[in-house]
Amino acid sequence: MTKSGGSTQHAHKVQAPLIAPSIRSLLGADADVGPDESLALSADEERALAAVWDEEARSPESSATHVRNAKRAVPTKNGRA
Amino acid sequence: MESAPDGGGRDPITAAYWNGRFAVECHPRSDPEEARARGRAIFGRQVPDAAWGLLVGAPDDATVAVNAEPGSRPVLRVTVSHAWYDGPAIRYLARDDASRVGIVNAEFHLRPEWQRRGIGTRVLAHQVRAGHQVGVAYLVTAAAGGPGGSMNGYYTWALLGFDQRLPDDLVPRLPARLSDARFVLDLMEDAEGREWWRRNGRAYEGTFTLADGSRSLRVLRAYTVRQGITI
Repeated sequence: MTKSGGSTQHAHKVQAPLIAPSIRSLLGADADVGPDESLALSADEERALAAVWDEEARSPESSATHVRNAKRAVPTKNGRA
Repeated sequence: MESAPDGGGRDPITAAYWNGRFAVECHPRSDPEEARARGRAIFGRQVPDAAWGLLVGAPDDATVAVNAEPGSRPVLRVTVSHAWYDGPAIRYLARDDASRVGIVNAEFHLRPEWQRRGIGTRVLAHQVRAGHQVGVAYLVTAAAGGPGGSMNGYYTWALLGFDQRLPDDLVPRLPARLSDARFVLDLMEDAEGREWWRRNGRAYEGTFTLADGSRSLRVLRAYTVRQGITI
């Protein structure tokens, strides 16, 4: 999750993900872009991806981990560590 | 995605079908020099013609046609034709207002008999590797569909690491324990979040960030390892 938890002793600052400009702003207002439907996942593939995300959530780099750490950290009175 | 370090050790499907044996041509109605100039404008340097095939993850025997889009914006249109594809795949390369290079993954449909064989994943993995090597900042795709519809791109592209801010009107409806989530990928990190997005999500324009260490790259890499895909 992305909320940083404010000023805390051990909170990591979570950098907002890069989100691209809209397709129309990239290609022009008249752009008419159809969908990419090349990825029809089987049930097994979906399960594999779910397992990958579960591992990602436990990894030190994940935003969920950052939020957990931020919530565990104790805010100081003046907002400084 | 795992890259075989020495060019060997690729998985059998990749080794059989991704060897750079595609043809790159200029679209018949486009001037080759204009297309190359557009490529220079996008990347800030001369890009070899073969790069266009690599940047769209083209398999062997694909025909990759390039043309400069009309207008003043630095946009190059790349269409990919292949026996596996149900009509040509269409991609656009563009330079945005912040001088970043992005690739818009537009229409792409695999013929039914070629679906669920890991082909779409391999196309994406090759595209991601090539884009990362030449400084592409992100891929964008129109992830279509919604709950109960025939298209489920809004869910599958999220699983594959394509991110977007959650729509403002959906945030207040998030389950209490997911109320911190602000991006689609925040929901993917949690089983309840994934199910919530499957039932409540909607079509979105998803960004796959190619920056080192991005969540998108981590997930694709872990998934390809798990699936035995080594490019």
